[in-house]
Amino acid sequence: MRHLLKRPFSLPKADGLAASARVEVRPRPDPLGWLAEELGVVDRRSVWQWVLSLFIYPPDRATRIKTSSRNTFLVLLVRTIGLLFSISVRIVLAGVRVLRWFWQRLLSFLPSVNYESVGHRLEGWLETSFFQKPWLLWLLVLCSIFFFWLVVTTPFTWFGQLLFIVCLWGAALFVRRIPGNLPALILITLSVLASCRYGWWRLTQTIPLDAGWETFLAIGLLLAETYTWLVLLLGYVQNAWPLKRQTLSLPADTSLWPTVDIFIPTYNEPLKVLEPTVLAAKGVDWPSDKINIYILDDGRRDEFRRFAKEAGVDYITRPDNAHAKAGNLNHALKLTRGEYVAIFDCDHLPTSSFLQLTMGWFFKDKRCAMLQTPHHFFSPDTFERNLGTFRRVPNEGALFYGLVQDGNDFWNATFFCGSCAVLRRGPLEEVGGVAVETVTEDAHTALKLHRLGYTTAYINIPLAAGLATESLSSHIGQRIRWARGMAQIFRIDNPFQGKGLSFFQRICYSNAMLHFFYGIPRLIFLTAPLTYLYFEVHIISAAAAMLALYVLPHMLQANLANAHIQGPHRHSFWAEVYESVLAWYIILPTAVAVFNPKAGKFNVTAKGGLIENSFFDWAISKPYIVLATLNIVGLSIGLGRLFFWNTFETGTVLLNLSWTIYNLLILGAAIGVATEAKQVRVSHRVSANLLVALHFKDGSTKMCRTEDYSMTGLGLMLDQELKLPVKERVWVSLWHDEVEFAFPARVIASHGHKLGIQFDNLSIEQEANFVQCTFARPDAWSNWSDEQGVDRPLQSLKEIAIFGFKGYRSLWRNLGKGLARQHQSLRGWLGRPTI
Amino acid sequence: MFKIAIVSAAGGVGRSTLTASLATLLAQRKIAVLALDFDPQNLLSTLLGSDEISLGGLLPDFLTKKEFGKSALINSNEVACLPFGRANEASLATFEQHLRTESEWLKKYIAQIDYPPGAFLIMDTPRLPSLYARQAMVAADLVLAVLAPDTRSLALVPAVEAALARCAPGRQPIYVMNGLDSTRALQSDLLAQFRSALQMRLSPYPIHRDEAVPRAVANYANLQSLSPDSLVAHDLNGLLNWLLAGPASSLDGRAQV
Ligand SMILES: Nc1ncnc2c1ncn2[C@@H]1O[C@H](COP(=O)(O)OP(=O)(O)O)[C@@H](O)[C@H]1O
Ligand SMILES: [Mg+2]
Repeated sequence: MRHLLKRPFSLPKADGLAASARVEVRPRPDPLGWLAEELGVVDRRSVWQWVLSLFIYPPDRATRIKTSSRNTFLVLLVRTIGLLFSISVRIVLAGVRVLRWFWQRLLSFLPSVNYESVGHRLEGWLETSFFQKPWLLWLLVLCSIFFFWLVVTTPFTWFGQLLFIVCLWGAALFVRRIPGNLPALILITLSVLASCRYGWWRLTQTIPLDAGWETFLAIGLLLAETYTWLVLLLGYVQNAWPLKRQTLSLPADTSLWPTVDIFIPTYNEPLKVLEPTVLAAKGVDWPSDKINIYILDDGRRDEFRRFAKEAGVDYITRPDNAHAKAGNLNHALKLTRGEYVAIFDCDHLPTSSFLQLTMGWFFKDKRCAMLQTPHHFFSPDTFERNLGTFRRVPNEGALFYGLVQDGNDFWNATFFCGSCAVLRRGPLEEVGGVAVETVTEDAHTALKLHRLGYTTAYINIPLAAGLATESLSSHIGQRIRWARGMAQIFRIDNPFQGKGLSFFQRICYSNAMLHFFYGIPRLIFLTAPLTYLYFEVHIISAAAAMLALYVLPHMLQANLANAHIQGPHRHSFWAEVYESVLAWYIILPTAVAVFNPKAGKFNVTAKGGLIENSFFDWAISKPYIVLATLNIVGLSIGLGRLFFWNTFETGTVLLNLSWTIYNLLILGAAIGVATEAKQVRVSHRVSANLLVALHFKDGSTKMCRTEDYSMTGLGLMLDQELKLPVKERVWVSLWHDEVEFAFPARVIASHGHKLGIQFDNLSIEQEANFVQCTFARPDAWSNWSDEQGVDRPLQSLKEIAIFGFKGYRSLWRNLGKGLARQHQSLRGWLGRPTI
Repeated sequence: MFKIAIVSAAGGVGRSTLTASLATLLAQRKIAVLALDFDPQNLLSTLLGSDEISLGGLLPDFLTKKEFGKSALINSNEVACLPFGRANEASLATFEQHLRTESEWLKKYIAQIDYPPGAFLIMDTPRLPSLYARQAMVAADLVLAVLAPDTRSLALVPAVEAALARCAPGRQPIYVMNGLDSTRALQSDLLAQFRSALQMRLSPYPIHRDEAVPRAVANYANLQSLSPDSLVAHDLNGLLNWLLAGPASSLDGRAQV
């Protein structure tokens, strides 16, 4: 019955290509391998074998030396030493093995525990009436305080203190492997113990009391240490139990959904920055009769008014610019009437699911007045760009949005951050709109809401994204504003005073504000070892070894605890870099704000700019250079002290030298940040793997995937090599919710599998569709930090050390250039004819 | 056996092309498939790789009272095809006369086929209204109506619905768009209109207009292997997945084939 069609189609052979000639692989000559063979090293990776073969066992094939009695003696001697050496190595290794075996046993016990049931049982016990008695709680608290006091204040000998370190450290290493949040609490406790013990010892034993300037400096250092100690403790309270709030779904009946106004305030940003934001906001998924979008233009620009009309959104201006952004928002509040207000800075594009995922909480919690989502940045910030750490190392904001806000949320103390947030209009109007008394109107508004007993919420899912600050100077400008604003709130509406806040809310707010006073303490730490190296002043009166024994557990435990709690959001030692860059600059603004909260002016951070040529920011880096120079001089003097002048207190010199070297590395990294790397593109490319169809002129098509996208074009990756002429017209299709959108474009680059295309005059509607297909996709930012490495403290230190070296190298290179320029301008000036 | 009738109210919208492509795709997934040409134009075998019009087929078999399927062909992609066969006016007239008297003729005729349980039968038809399409719709488990991205097809949607309702009361066709040029704003708008009118009954994968289709036909080649990364290959895969997961998922034992 079956007979073949006369011409069956021929399927191309898939493996026709694979049969082509294989390149033969010949091993490369390997000098190391040859040497190993000659010497008789079996395992080439073992350092011991190399050492043994090179110095101890005579190689068989090496030319024989003529034997004499002296030679024989030498050989014997060498062999005995070799034997003793290898025996001791064996013994040490055996000891290590036994210890490791114990450790492994201990650890193997961990996974076998059923943590969930243990947790439930524990909870069950605590619920029983036996544990519900208040006196029991007090008893427990008293006992804890007593033991705590005991541990903190009992003086130990050096050996006791050493044992203390080992026990604490071992316990921490063990505990941190337990899943859940319990280990965080235990690690915090251990760290607090170690730090308090150190603090007690510092206070009682190490202050020089001879009332000279030595004492003065000593107290300075002590105050700085107290500050960090306090911030550390408050931070522990703040972040002890991150809430990690989930999203809630909305009622199915959309008629119950409230009306929402979206405010997009702008002042001096270019239209290019605002445009995608407005288009993204237009795509936010919400019943269209219940959403209104407003551009609040404080720049009163016709161009913007025209754009608003074209895009079909509302446009609001006001006659003055009083109170900057806060005033702008308040003005718009008076003219609008939506039940909720969502605020997006003009460079934060919301994803289409923004309201769907956030509004649920307002249904559940009727007292909820504000819900904040993270500020996510798809362009590298100054640190990431100038150091090249984009998407590898968590950036500066990651700690706050990844951990601190979640921690705050647990204590019902989520701060409002000015953008990417939804507020309930009622409560907002009740506190008189957005606060205008300070330059950080957002945090202050949240504080006022909390004082009235409203709750706030945080959802740690990036639902909007924007551009990070471009240059170091604008980054510093922004942080100065934050620091000033926080200091202002600290003065005029101190969270530890006034009504309405819970104890823990007060702690969270205080920590946020105290945090910005790190300027002076950081400078003290960066210069403290110099007092000894320069003037031989002992600002800590203790033996170096003892100091090391006390300070070590304090730092070690704090590092372990923080690496455990903050690990994914801040790698070890990066806080030092971030703070050192800003320290000098925030001292004055915070100080002024504390003494006179009204002084100063509000400045808007510039965004969307482009650094066209890489350059070294001499103006900004002056303080780092001065500090680095001081430390380098200190280092050289210290080396002199080590070998010539202070040989009687080697320990002290070494301690101060290591401190100086650490400072130098951190300062080097700060200098590296001041080397502004060139930015190539005006619009930032976001890497993403999206399905794309290319339509060619001849009617054929090709499916491929994006490597990255930006507002102006796409980078594409093809399965096969394809050569297209530059300027060739194509169309590209992208999908959003199974709906296809095609955009006209031109080829701008074509190499092998890669294709770069640029859009060809998109209409506003096409741009809006493009934004929906890319930036505003609900999952656009969800896997952003997947590629980030975990925190490995030593690795982190190494990386910062490398950045430090690079910083000095860049400084050295630019110094040459800078001096040449200076020289020229000086000559030009001298050579001017005098009139 | 799961039977699909491919119909349309407008002409030249790609019924035959779609029949051939779906059949090839099914065969490529190792699902037994028979493409049945129930259109007197007798072109389906050409689309499946034959380079001349088949003489033998369903109609000659009927006239000579041969057993069903005797004239089936099978191509190198394992797609079986039963051509309509060569016809002249007289033979067509007798055949149509017979079809008119027996409205379930095709259904009974198909029932004789001895085919593996999970197999697919895809029927190509002339455009509606047509005696042949009517027979195919009666016989089919699923009616897939092809739409062109133009107002004509939009206007003819009620005609398709009515035609099916007449021969199989209570059943509704599902739809797929073919020949979409997404670079034309008008066509995208029309697609949106179709979507809002037909909702879930319209396949989420419109088949795009693509040079790869005529090129494959001209080369007697399988579209999926000639242009595997073309948009239309992607669309067809999407359509088939959607069919298998949704409208055609009632079929059991499909995987055993
Ligand atoms: N997706 C497509 N892309 C390009 N050409 C197509 C496509 N679908 C069909 N065609 C072309 O349209 C013409 C009509 O197709 P055909 O399948 O014969 O339609 P029908 O059977 O509905 O009359 C053919 O020339 C075919 O090659
Ligand atoms: Mg046809």
